Amino acid sequence: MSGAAEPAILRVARGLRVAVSALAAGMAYLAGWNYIACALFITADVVGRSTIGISSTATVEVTGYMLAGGIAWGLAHTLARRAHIRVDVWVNRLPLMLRAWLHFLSLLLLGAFAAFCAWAAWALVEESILFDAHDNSALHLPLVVPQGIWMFGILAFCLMILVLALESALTLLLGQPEELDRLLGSRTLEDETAEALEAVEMSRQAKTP
Amino acid sequence: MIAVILLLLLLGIAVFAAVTGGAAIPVTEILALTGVFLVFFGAGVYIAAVLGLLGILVGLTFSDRPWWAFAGQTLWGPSSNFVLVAVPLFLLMGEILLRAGLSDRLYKALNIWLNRLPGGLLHTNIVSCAVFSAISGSSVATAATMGSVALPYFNGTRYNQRMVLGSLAAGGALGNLIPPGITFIIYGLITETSVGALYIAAFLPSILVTGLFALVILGHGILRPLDRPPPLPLRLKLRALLDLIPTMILMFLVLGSIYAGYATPTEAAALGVVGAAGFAALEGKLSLRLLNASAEATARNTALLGLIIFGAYLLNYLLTTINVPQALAGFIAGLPLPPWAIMACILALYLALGTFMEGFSMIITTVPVVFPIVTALGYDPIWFGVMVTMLVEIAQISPPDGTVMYVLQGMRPRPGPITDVFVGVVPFLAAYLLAVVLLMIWPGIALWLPRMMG
Repeated sequence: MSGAAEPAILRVARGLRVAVSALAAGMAYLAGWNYIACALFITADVVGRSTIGISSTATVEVTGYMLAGGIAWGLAHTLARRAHIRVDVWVNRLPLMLRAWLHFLSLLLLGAFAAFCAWAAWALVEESILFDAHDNSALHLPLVVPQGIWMFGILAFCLMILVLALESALTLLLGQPEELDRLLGSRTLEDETAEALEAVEMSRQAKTP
Repeated sequence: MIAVILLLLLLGIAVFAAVTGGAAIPVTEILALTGVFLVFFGAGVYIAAVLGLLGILVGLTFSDRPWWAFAGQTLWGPSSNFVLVAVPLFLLMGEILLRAGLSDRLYKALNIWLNRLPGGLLHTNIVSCAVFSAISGSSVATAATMGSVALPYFNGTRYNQRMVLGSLAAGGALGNLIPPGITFIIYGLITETSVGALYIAAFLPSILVTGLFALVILGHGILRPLDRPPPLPLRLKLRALLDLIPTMILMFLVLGSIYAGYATPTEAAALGVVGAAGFAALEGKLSLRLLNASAEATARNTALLGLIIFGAYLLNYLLTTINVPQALAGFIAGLPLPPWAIMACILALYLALGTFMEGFSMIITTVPVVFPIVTALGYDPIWFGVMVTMLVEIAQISPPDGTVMYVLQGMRPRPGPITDVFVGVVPFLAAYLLAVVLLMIWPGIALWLPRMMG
């Protein structure tokens, strides 16, 4: 915003946040395409089952793993896009300074919860390694693979919270609450409507001019 | 703000009942927890974090068992559940359809058939919303899509602006009730009810609500008649029918395969995605850009849901280990009140919560605690699922805080106060509430069809 007057440390924090956001966005696109693959996989299974009587026999398990991975890998990007749900009816009516602090507090609490989830995920993965756990599907897949992928997503989520918290703390210290509000304030209805309209707009475009 | 008052009132009743009933309920602890809950919520903390941290707090305070050892499994279980796979798939299908321009054609085609009825285009609003919501699972998306398609048709007409906005908002509120809705999947997952049975149960209530909406418009149209547009030749009408075919096929593919018992909801959703992509391809709109944008939106919306599920399952797991839902259910079932009065309280609670909470977060948060009470009172889980979904939808169109209405307000071409939307939606709100009352009196409206189909 203020260009050259900006302290170097804030620029570093911002750079870090931008980098992690880019990583998170990449992971989210993978998660999304993973759902497309999921749809194709299940469709193939249904068609195969009803026409030629073959099925992968592990569709239920594998798509479940794909979902778990998809959820976890989308978490960080969802945070970067400020889309995780909060009840903000009251917060948005508060004065800027108070609001900024509350945003920061919310992020820290989210961080605490995410850290717990990461720890729990790690404990689960460790257990799966220890017992060399496999699922009950015909493929007898080792659980450590999907659970490890899942855990990686949660860790990326923690990292995203960390860099966001770093940047927010700096903006608070430097007395720029409006920056923090922009960074963490939840998406307004206008944002959501604009997004739906953008999607509709895409459908209006001529096939190929 | 009606919500807050109502909530405090209900809390008061609960405390009063607990004190006079003399039952051994740890009132102070429950109040303290509720307090923490409300403060966190009010401060705008992420819902998932509130639920999760509350769960951890409950575990640390009340449980002397090593509950944390199962935390990983508690989070992993639901997130790798095949039933839940339907959620991203239905979202994906909706995102693709939204971008494929099916809604435009749908509206045009329906309009040709409906515009000579009293109330004219307003019927098209409701019916096209109803049809669109049968293939999409989200109310905001339905309202935004149909609003952007429909509003231009009303430019320069003598239609009552309020009714136009009201009917679109009401139509948007059909989004989750008409199968396949996401709400039912979440409800089914939490309560271990069959999602397919919920979809079947929602069939007649959806028709009931849509029918009541049509009656409202018919009444309005008869009271304030407008000039009818000239009749169109049959050939044109039949050609319009052709434009409806893609939507119909998709509906048949998704709902038909569920209703016929040929596919589970998750499999039907997968077929729906492929079908939607197929029609987008026929329209010449299937592109990498479309799929990429749809994939990103799906990933985001699934992740936000997933995080709340993490928090809710953790909390629910801990509450269950210390027997809270069971104790609460036993206590409430033992109250000297008739079951219908308790049910009315529960329904009022949903209505209140819904005015400031978003639909599925509300269901994930409350159903684990409320559901044991409902079953203890002897109500049918499937019927309750339909009721909850209807209430969530009603809450979305109840002034002054319904999301769908603000979406429409943001889109209207002729500016005006938000109260226009509020006034316009009231008759539809009344109709929707009437449907809830009817369902309360005759649960068979929801339960007859699932029973007939076994």
